[in-house]
Amino acid sequence: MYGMIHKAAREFTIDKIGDDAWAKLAAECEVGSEHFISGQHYCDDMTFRLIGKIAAVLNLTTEQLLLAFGRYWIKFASEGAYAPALDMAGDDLETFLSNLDRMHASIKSTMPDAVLPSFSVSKAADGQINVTYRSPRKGLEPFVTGLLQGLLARFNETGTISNAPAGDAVVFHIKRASASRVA
Amino acid sequence: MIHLSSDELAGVFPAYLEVSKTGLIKACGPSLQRHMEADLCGKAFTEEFCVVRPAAASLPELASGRAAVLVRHRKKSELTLRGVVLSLEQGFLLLLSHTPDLSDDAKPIKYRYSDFSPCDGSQDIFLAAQVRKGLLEDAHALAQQLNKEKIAAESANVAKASFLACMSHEIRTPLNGILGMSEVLLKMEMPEAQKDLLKVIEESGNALLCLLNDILDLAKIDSGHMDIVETDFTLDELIGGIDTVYRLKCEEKGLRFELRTETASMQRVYIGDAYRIRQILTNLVSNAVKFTDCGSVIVTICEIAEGAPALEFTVTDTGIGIGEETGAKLFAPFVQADSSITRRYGGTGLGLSICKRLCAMMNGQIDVSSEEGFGSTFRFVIPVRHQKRNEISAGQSRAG
Repeated sequence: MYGMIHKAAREFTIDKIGDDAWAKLAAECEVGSEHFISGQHYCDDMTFRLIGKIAAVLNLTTEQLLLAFGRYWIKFASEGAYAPALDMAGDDLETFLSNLDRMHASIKSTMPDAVLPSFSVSKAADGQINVTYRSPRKGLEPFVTGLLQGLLARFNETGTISNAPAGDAVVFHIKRASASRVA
Repeated sequence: MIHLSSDELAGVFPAYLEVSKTGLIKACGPSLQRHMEADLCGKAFTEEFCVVRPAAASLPELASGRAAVLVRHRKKSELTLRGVVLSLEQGFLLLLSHTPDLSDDAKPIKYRYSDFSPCDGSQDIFLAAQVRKGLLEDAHALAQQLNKEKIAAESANVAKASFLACMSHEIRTPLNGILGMSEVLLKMEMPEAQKDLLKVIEESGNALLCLLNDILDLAKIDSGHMDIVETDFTLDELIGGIDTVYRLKCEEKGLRFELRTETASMQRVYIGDAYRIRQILTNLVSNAVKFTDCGSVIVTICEIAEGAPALEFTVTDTGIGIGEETGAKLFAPFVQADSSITRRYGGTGLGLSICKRLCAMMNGQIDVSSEEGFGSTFRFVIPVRHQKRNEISAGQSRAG
């Protein structure tokens, strides 16, 4: 994964437990440096080792951590080097979700080693939104749920998110409770 | 022939323009309209846009099928589009794509993915340029942070060095008292058992004194308080004491000791910091003797002249040698081959670090080649000058 993920994990952890605890945790994970470079590719093993350790230190299950980190990720990415990529996706939830695949296709040109998921959006039977998620990485559904929660917050919306497997994909159902959209 | 509805056309070219024969905009893509304050439809094309390429092309010229165009909005000049013209019976169609200005002083346009055709790669280039700016900012912030940490670390290091220097000095004074009194006591009559105990005190005191001297030297170098003092010297003066002391030590260990010099060099008078050169050489010879249990220790000294003259010293032993991994960090402070070396041979691991720093202070260099189990060769080269007067000036002494 690219360093921006690790940078986000670092900020997330520092927010929760402070600089010193992060430094200790990073040393224990043998990540090599407390600092990460957004545009550098790091091996997945190290990333998952880091996530496991953060979960243990914060006394969370991996699923709980991924959920919280997914929410945090949207906030983090909205402020960092990749903020323009998010801004270009749209000013409302549906447009944004519809452009996720285009966003990932464009990001791929700057992050050629990235393994990016695919999202497609459709209207659910209840008139709400279904997001079909496909990724070669397994077990990241809680992270996607967190991302979608983060996006609801980005567009000043609230709602509930559930998911169910559908063949090789996972379908996330977004039930929006309110829609006080920001233009 | 493919016929596209206006929605389909907008899907492929979100910034298209349809212009009538009379020059009025009949329709425009959603992307263009999104960037405009008022509806473009019904307005004169030439009042809204200027044709940059082909330069000064008139409407009939455009309509006649000049294929490639570059147009710019007159009021929002940052809005530049390129594309092709297709002639229609009732006017012409401009199939356009945004051409983002990537220069740093460009007015920012809030582009969306929907502003670009799905088959237009320029959005990737635009995004890459935007992301690159962000990454550079990240790198700049990281560099600043690292620099801040470096300054803090250097400051802490200077404080540590000053503290060590002060403490070492304070400890050395009473230690000299202990060693002096031990020496006096050893000359007195006393039972052998007490004398043995006293010798342990003296040996331990001397070991501690060596350690303190090393720490003091390192601290002085680190805090910039060590000066290089140049004097006249001959090689005979430089190596005389080393030859006597270490030849004897080698004999005690059953080692062969050789000192090889050139006649021409021995006859010269040099200018350099003989005290520090001797300190480096003593350290290397002392190590060679310490880490060699059988075989030999050979010291060679010669003058090399590649441009300016320099003295080259090599110390070769047949001792335990150094592994490749340790060799790389051997000149860092507190490094010995492994902890068992410290236990078996003693020493602080400061000596080679001091040698390296002293060499650097004298614009020299030091290196090592070694094979574990077969011995090592340490080599250092120090630039010197020739004293034209063939005599040693009197009255020169080392300050501090």
